Amino acid sequence: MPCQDALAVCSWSVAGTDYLVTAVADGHGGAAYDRSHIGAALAVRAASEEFQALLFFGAAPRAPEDADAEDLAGVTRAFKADFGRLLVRRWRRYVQEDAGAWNESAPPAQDADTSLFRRYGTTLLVACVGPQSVLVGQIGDGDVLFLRADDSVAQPLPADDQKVGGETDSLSMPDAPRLFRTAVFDHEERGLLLLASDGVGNAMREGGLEKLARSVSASALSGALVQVVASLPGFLERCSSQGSGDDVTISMVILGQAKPATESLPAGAEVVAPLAEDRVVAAGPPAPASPEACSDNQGGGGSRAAGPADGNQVDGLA
Amino acid sequence: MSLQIGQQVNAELLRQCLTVRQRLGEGTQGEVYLVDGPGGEQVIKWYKPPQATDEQRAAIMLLVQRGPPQGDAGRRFVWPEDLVTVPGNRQFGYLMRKIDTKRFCELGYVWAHPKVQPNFATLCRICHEMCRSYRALHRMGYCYRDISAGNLLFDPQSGEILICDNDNIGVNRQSKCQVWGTIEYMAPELIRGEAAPSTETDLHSLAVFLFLLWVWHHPMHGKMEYEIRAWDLPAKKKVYGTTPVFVFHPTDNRNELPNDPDYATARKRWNYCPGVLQEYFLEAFMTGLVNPAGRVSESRWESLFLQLADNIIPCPACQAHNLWDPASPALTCWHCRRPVALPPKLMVVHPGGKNYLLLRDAAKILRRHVDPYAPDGETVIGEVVRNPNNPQVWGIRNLTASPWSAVMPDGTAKDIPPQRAVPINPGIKIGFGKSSAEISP
Repeated sequence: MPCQDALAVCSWSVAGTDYLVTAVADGHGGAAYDRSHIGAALAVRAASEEFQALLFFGAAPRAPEDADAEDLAGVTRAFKADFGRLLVRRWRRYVQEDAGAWNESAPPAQDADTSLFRRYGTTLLVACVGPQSVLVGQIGDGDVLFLRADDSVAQPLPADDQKVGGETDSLSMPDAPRLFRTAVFDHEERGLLLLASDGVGNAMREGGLEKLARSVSASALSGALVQVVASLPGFLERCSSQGSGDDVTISMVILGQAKPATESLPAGAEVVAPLAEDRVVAAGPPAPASPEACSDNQGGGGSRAAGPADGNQVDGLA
Repeated sequence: MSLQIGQQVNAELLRQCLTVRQRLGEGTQGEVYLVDGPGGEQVIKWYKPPQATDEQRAAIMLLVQRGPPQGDAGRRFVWPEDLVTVPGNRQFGYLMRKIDTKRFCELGYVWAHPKVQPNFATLCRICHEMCRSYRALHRMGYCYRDISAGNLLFDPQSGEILICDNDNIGVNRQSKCQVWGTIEYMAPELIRGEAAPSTETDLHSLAVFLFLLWVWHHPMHGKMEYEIRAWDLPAKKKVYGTTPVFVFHPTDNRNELPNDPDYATARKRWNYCPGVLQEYFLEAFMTGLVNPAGRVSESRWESLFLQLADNIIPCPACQAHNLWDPASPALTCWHCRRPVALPPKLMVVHPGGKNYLLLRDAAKILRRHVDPYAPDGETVIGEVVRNPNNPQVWGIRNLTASPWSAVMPDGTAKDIPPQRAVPINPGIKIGFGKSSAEISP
C-alpha cells in the first residue's frame, strides 16, 4: 500500500516580499479511498498553486487610494473569503484530470460524496509565512502549532471538539469549502511553525509536539539544527512503528537565527533554505520505514511526492 | 511605530493611564493590543502612521463624544470609548471593550463546525438584532461603511450579536473615510466608482450578509465566478460591480448555480428559506442592484425576522423547527418532508401594516403584534389557552386591563373583559385599540 501522506514546500517573491508556503496532506487510506495517496499529492499541489494565485492576484483594496498599494491585509481578507472555495475547486479539477488519465469519466454532479472524489479523499494542512504574519488553513485532522520567541505555544486552529472516534473532515466532502478553517496571526522575528499529519500527534503523549518544536527551535539557535533534523527520520519511524502505525509527516518553518545545514543528511530528512537567510525549513519524511508498520487502512510503506507547483518547489522527502 | 509590551498609554478624556499587556493582531489600518487600566482589561486599536491622520483623529473624537445609538441596539456596537495617545508620538488609537471570543464567533466558525449551528429561532434573532442595530445607527445620521462577516460576531446559542470595527463609521454622505468596504459586500455603484459609502450602500452589504447567514453562499457566486480562473481584482469587479447577477434570478440565468457539488448546500438552504424571505432576497438582489433607493430597508428586514421567529412551528413527527410562510397554504417539514398541520391564524391589521400569528397552544400575543411602534412591545397582551373543562375548545385570553371588542361570525358584537377568552373560531374579528384582527382557519 503506498504512503498516503504528501508534503510540499515552496516560496515566491511577490513585489519584493518573500513568502514561504508549506502543505501537508494525509490521504484517508482504506478500500473506499483507494486513490487517497494521489488525492493527498494533488491537495498539496493545489494548495501551493492556490497560494501562489492568492499572493499574486488575490488582494482587493478596501479603498480607492489603496488600489495600487501593496496590501498585505488584502491578502489576508482574500485568504479568509476565497481560499477554501478556490482550493477545493482546484483540487476537484485535478482529481477529475487524474481520473481522465485513468480513462474514467467525471463524477455525476451533486453526487460527490459517494463517487470519484471520495476515492481521492484527504485532509490538508497549509501555511503561508509572510514578512509579518502567518496564514494557516486546515481541513480534517492533523496539528498546526506555532512556538513563539517567549516559548509560548499557540494553536491557531484548535481541534474540532465535535468530532469523535477518529472522524475527520475531508477535501472530498461536498461542503469542503466551508469546512476549510483559516486563521491568521502575526509572528515576531523568531518562532517555529510546525505542521504534522495526525500520525505524528497520535503517536505522542500530550504535549509531545510542543516538546519537539522546542527541541528543534533550541537546536536551531545553538547551531545543532542539522543533528536534530538528522534524527527526525528515526524519530518519525518510531512514531509510526511503535505508536500510530500511520504515515507520518512533519513540516517545520523556523524563523530567526537558524544556521542552515552544511552537512549531508540521511535520506528522508532535509533542511531547505530557499528564502532569506533567517528562514529555514526542516521537513521530516512522509513514509514509515516499512509497510508492515502500518495498519491496513491507514497507510503503507511507499510515498508519493507532490508535483512541483513551480520551479522553486521542494517536496516529496521520501 | 508599534507599542511595546508594558508601555503606558493615555486615555485622553477618561484621564486614565493604561498599560499595554499583549499584542492581539493587526489589520489594514492598525494594530490591536490588550491593555490594563482602572476599567480592567480593555482593548485598543493603534493606528499605523499613514492612517493616523488628523481626519481620523477627529472622526474618532466625534464618535467618542456622540456615543453609540441608545438602548439595546446601541450596546451591540463595540464603540470607541476614548482617544488613546502617547506623549511625543503623533500616532494615536482608541479604546474599546474586550470581546468574549469564547462566546462570540464569526460565521466561518459555524460553517467549519467548531461552533454549533444556530437554529432557525436563533438565526432570526441574529438577523433581527443586526438589522435593528444598523437601523439605529442610520437613524443617527451615520453610515457603517464596512458591513461584513468579519465585523459581526454572534453567540450561536443565544443569538446575541456584537458589531466590531466601528471606527469607520461616519456621517452619511458627508465625512471622508479610509475604508470603502470589503469588496464581496460592496454595492455595485461603489465598486464602479459612481458613489461613495452611504446608508444605501450599507443596505446592500446588509443584504449580502443576511444571504450568507441563511444560504451559506454569496448571492453573486454562480456560473460567472465559477468560470473565472484568475480570481483577481478585475474579475471581482466584474462579478460584484459591473455585471452583478443574482444566482437565483428567476429569468436571467447568466449567473445561475453551476451543476457542481459545491453548490448543493446553497440550493438546499435556499429551499429552506420560506417564500417571503426568498422574495425579500429577490428584491434586494434584483431591484436593489440597480436601484439603490429601492433596497430592502432595515425595518422591513426587522419585521420579517420578528414575524418568522414568532411563527416557528415544530414538526410533530421529527420535532424539527419549521418556518411558516403566511403566503403558503400548507407547510412541509424541511427535515422529514412530512406535512405539518397548521393551527388557526390571526391576521392583525395595524397602523404599520399587517402581521400574522399562528395560534398554537400557549402562543403569546405581544403588544408589538398589534402596535409595532409601542414602547412596551414585548408585553404579553393575550395568550392562547384551552378551556379547562373542554380541552378541544381553544381561545385567546385577554391579559390586558381593558376589554377587547369582538365581532362573531354572525355579526353580533361582544366585549371580552380582562382575563376572559375569545374563542378561536374562523371569522371572529377582534379589536385591539387602533388595530383589528381576524381569525382564519
